[in-house]
Amino acid sequence: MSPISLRLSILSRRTVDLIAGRWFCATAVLAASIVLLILVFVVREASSALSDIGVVRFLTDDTWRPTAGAKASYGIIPMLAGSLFVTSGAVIVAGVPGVLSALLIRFYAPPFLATIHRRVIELLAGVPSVVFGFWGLVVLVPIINRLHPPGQSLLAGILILSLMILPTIALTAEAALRGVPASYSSAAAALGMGRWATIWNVSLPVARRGILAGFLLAATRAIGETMAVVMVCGNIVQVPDSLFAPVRTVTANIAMEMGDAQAEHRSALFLTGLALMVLVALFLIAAGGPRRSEVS
Amino acid sequence: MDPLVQLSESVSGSSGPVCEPGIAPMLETRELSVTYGSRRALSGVSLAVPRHQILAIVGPSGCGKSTFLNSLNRLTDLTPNCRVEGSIRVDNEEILNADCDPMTLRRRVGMVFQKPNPFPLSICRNLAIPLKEHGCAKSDMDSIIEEAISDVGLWDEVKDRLNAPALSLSGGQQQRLCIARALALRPEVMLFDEPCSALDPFSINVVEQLIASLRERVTIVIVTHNLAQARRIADQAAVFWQRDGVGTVIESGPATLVFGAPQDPEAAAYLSGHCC
Repeated sequence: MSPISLRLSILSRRTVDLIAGRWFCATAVLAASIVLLILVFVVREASSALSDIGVVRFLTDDTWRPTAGAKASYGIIPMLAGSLFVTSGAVIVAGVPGVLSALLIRFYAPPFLATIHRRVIELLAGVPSVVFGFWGLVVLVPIINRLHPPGQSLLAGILILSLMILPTIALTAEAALRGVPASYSSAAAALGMGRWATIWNVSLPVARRGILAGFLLAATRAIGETMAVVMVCGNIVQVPDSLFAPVRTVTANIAMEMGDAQAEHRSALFLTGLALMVLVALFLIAAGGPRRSEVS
Repeated sequence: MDPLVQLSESVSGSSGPVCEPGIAPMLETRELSVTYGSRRALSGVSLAVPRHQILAIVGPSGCGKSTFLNSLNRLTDLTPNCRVEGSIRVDNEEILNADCDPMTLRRRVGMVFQKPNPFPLSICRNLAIPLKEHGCAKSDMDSIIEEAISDVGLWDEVKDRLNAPALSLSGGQQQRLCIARALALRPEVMLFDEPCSALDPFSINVVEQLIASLRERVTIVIVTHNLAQARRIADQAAVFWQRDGVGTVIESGPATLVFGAPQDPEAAAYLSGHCC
């Protein structure tokens, strides 16, 4: 090859890298700026509620009655409690079967069964939330009603959400278990350890952080879920005193009231949305934090 | 007796390492062959290791040395489609029989891998987990752990930080921990798969001397690429070679004979460093 053509090919490769780099950078900036713009928009819309009503009243008013004129109250604690109860309940209910199905796929099922099981779980992830809500309303809620009226309840929300986040937990747990180096399992096998002893003592502890990160990702999905929750939770603003009590989550509240909200009310709804975003951001930081320390 | 005469007398047909007449070898394979699916990896391996001796296995890459080692503790069971045929006897007990429990076998036949692979848990847990799995009483645990770690010369280095992560140890220390982890189970045979090839020169020396000293307690099979190392520590030796794409043994016997006067021309060339 002559020196000249060699030089040309290096130049052109450098040009390709340059263009690719600029292009990727531009798309990354675009994606990030959209998120930032949404945040700025929500903060701007919420700002009049922040300045006129004040954070203190949002946290101390005992109920949510934004349309009562002079007697209006803006307590978001009952709805935040509703969101947190539904979410944590769903993570607890879905956690065990989610991790167990990851263990099944990874360690116990023969390959064809593992593939089928994984496909079913992926299918579950693809079911639209309104279908979950509909099914919950016509099947689950009547069953709970027979146990303890009214049926539309915290429990119904927890069960429906747990179905919805089960795929997230199962698939992230499976990925985390897949990431456990094979050298650990061959070490365990060579020491005469059984499958369960290996899973319990080695695989699960090693994959723990990835599995917990999956729980937090599932929680962010659950806390943001709206449609199914609106349909099965009963939507009464109260801190629930039992699993059978109806609750209203922050997301359900925004969905139901945003259509005809005016002025202060509208701004207050944006503020509740902002509160939710902050909560989700905290979850994400918690989910990402351990993974960073795992590297080091 | 002339060692050559002894060799030809004690083995009928094959040229396996010799034992004292009348004493059964600790580990013996006969016509061992291993296939992965339709591909034959190892064929016709007949070797024997007398109690408390070290068998060093040498040979170029890809001639089935690790496959041979893995079949001795039935780690080959874990590879789908892997079939092991022939006979492997550990202390005169056939281990390829269906009624041999691989978990119990692997306690009796310990293994140390090329790359140190302690569990990413504390130093102490690394030994405690397999001990617990094999039914070691809680009250004996601490003393067995201390003994095993002392046996590999690691006790003074780690006694103040038994709860520190095993991965915080150096490579050589990790490998010695892995040896201790296997020793704690009181094995009768230990398999080493190139245990020094991932270590620095100083650690190689330490681990090599440790392995040589272990022959007082266990029977050892070691795969190594380091011919000088094999010469230093082996009582018995076997040269593996690939013939027609299948691994087999081309030279075996007491180490002094294999290294001193190899019969097979390819083995002779390999051992003198004149090939590959």
